[in-house]
Order: sequence, then C-alpha cells, then structure tokens
Amino acid sequence: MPKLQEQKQVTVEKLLELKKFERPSSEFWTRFENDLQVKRLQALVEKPSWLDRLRAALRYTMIWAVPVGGAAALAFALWVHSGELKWLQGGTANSELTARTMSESGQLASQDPLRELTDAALAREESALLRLETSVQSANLASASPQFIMDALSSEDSQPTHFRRVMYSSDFSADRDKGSRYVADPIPASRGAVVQPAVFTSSSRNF
Amino acid sequence: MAFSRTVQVDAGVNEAAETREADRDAELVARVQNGDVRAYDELVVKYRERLFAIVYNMTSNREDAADIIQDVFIKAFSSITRFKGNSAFFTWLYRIAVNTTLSHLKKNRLRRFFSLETIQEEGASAEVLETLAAKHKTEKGALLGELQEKLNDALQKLSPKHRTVVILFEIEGLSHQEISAIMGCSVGTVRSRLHYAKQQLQAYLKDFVDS
Repeated sequence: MPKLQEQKQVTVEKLLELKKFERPSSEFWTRFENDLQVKRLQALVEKPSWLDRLRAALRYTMIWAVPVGGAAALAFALWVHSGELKWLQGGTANSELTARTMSESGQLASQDPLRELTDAALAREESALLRLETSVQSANLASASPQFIMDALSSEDSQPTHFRRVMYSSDFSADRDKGSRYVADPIPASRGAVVQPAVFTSSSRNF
Repeated sequence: MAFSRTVQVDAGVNEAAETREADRDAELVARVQNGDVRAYDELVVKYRERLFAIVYNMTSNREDAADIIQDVFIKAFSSITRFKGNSAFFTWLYRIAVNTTLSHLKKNRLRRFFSLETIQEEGASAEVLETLAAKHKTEKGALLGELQEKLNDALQKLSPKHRTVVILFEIEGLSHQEISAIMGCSVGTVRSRLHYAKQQLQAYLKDFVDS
C-alpha cells in the first residue's frame, strides 16, 4: 500500500519526465530535413568571407604566437640582463680606476711644477708615474680580458709589490707593438686568474 | 542477492549496447571522413530527435531549436575531419549543441517566445497526468496545457547552465560523467548544479509537486 502511494506521488523528476514525451510532428521533421539540405549545400558552395579567412589565419597564428613570443621575450630579457651586468661590471672598474688616477695625478699636480727635483725625488716621481700608468693599463687589460695575464712576479721590497706579465697588442695601445710586459698589480692576488709569485729581477723586466 | 545480480546483468547489457552504438557511430564517422555523405545522413536521423529534446527544452522555442540543430549538424559536418575519436561521437555532437545553444541564449537573452510541443500521452506521462488531474479535480486536457507552461516557465527561470544539467540528466538520461564531459566541468560541479536546480524547480512547481 505505501509503495502504491509512493508511485502515485508527483515529484519534480516525474514532472520532468513529461518533457521526454514532448515531440514534434512528422511534418516538422520533413521541413527540418529540407532546410538542413539547403543549408548544407549553401555551406558547401559559400566561400568563406575575407573576415572568416582572417579569423581562421589569426586563430592558427595565435596557437604559435604565445609560446614563440614568450620565448623571444624571455631571450631578450636575458640578453638585456646579461648586457646590463657586463656594463655595470665594466663601469664599476673604470670608475674606480678613474677616481684613483684623478687622485694620484692631483697629488702630483698640486706640487710646484717649477721646483728643482733631486735625483731621489725625481726617481720617486718617475716611480709613482710609472706605477700609475702601469696600474691603469693593467686594470684596463684585467677588466677587459683577464686571460691575457700570463704569470706574475712580486718584489722583495719591504713593501712587496705584485707584478703580472700582461700580453698587449696594438689594438689596446696604439703606441706599442704587440708583446708582453710586467705591470704592477693593483688587483689582489686572489682576484687574478693565475698568479705565480716570483722573485723580481731587473733582467726579467720587459718594458 | 538475486536483485543485485539482476541489476548487474542490466548494467552489463546496457554497457554492451552502448559499446555497439559507439562502434557503429565510429564506423559512420570514418565513412563520412572518407567522403561518404550518406553516412552523415544516417547520423543526422539517429541524433536529430535527441538533440531536439535538449535544444528545445533549453530554448523553449521550436523554431529556434530547429535552426540551432541545423547549425549544429552543419558545424559538425564541416569539422568532422578534425574529430579524432578521443571521445564518443555523441559526446562531441552534444558538446557542439550545448555550446551553440548557450551562445544563442546569451545573444538573445531579451527575446523570449515560448512555443509548446504536443505531449504524447503514453506510459509514465499518462500516469502522472491522471494523478495530477485527480488531485486538482480538473480535466486532463486543461491540466496538460497549464502544466506544460509551468514546466517551461520553471526551466527558463533557471540559469542556462543549471537548465542544461537538469535537461541532460533528467530528460536525456545521461550520467554525471557524460554531462561533465559535454559541459567541460567536473562531476562535482554537475552534481551541485543538479541539486541546486532541483531545489529551485521544487519551489517553482510547488502547486504540482507533492511535498
């Protein structure tokens, strides 16, 4: 009895089932068939408009545009970033060097240019100038291309000075031929490429 | 024990029938892909009524439904070479139909002309109508028109996505998995939409439904 009552109950599901029995007449399907045939033929005959062709082409291009564009943007960003780093490193080295050069030449220029120099003073002046010049060159070379440093020497003075053998060419300094020379090392030994401390002798100098 | 075995046997029979259907569809699709247009006509005749049930109940308009189904069949025909058989053909066709109908509803959301189809009084529908007529003490014919209007109205009050889920599950009899494949959403979303939609329908149709 309760089962029968349950069967007689009207639920949302049972009402929706009624929709299954809503069917069009056979004339509807005949007309539908004819219309479909006409539309299908039209679709076969009709050439796609330029807008449709453009849309299709863009759709196809967009499939590749996103990954390729993304990869290109990434490569460009990496290239810019690495270039910026190099520029910053070069810029830092040059600016440090310029500051040092300016301060040392300022010290020399502040002295009276007309005063008589003793031999010892002259030697000191020359030595200072030489150190300045060599340090500028070696720093330039070291910052530009550290692989040019072949080996290194150090003096036996109470204030030890490190020297490095540096290859140079006419590309770097127009007034000298290709060859190598030892220059005072402004860079601490730990920063050099291959530093081999050796006893400094005047015969090994190659200025 | 005997009941569960019967259910298992029924499920097995249904599964075998579905596999046969899928194989037949795949064969017809392969023929169409090789240039046999007549094979496509077979597919049209096979699926037009099922598609009509979905689209008509989504739009509640017979003429719109006819136009949409024709568009669906043309779209499917022109892109059948791209159908790789990763899903069943009917899933693919239903997906085209649902998407076309949803975009039609979006475009014409302000235009609402309802039309009613004749309900074939047979089986379950006759039983429900008799029960309702007895309950409301009215004639079956008069009740039918009113009920149809109320049903259409209630369905149209649902959002298009909720309506689609209800139609595919309750009217088309598809499983949650099949609906999720057609609508491109999870099974959980299908279940929750169905639950919410039924609650809404229960409220809209409270005059006809036993609480």
